[in-house]
Amino acid sequence: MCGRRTCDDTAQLALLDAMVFFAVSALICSVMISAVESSVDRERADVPARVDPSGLLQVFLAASLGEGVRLEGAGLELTGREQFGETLLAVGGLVRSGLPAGLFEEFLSHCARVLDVLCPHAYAPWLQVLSEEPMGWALLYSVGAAEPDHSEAISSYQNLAGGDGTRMMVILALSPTLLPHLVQV
Amino acid sequence: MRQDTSAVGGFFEDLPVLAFVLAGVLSVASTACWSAEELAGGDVLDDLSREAGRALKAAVGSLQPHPCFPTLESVRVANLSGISQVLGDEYGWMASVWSLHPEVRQILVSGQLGSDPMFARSAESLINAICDDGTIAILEVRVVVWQANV
Repeated sequence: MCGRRTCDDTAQLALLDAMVFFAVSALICSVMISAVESSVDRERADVPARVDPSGLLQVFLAASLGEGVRLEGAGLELTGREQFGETLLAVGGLVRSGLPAGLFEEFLSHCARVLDVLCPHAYAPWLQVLSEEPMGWALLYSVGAAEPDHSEAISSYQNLAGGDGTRMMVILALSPTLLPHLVQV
Repeated sequence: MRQDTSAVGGFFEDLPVLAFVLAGVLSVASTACWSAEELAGGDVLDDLSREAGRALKAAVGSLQPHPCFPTLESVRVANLSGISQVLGDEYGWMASVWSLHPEVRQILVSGQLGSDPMFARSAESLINAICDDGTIAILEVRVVVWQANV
């Protein structure tokens, strides 16, 4: 197979054309792969949005404390059969009457522990109790490790009414902790 | 394009050209197949998510037939076969009920496990239940659904 060989610049460079074709193919492949990967990542990022804070708050407020808590400073003893909702309301009333929220630290820590168990692992719970005052809602106390980033947190609230006519609001915010950072990376 | 006799010709000289062209075509074709498979997998997962939601609704309806809270004992002996009626034979499923508060323990596991899951999706919900001592517990109901014939 020894064909006639010439050395000039008039031949068509088929090999160069093939290399250009291959380079364009590689470019198309990389664009397709990146587009599909970003689509799949978006689907995965949508998963945390399915968390339902309103259902979690409703179930939490209806549940019993489960274990007795003795609040020495406030002169209060909880047997464990009380519901979280009514206890949050009672503690809110005592804080509103002037007792420092620090006296109820043991109860608030118990609330935080239970919320941590109920909350999906990619979220951190943050609970606030507010009372209705003539000038608006005033924060009485909060439960949780850190205030959530409001741009990413999802929240729900429920109104509670005391026997003396006081109105309070419980807000539960779930702040994403781990998953958004993984998605961003 | 031109027609003359001065081009380098020959079978072996064309082989590298053929190799580059074939590599390019094969890479585009294989990437297209992979992309189609990935996107089809996403559709399957969307369907499974929807079915998991329906199965969860059926499970919670079986555990909590009345507006008031169920007892822990009734949850323990609940019949979750209603999930099979909702999903049909096309899907396999497994439902579990765990007590999360006041203590963490398993209450009920039920399922239709006739096939191996390849793609699966789950849905979960929290409900209250009355314990034997009258306290109100928190239960997690979780349903995992997969395609039975994949």
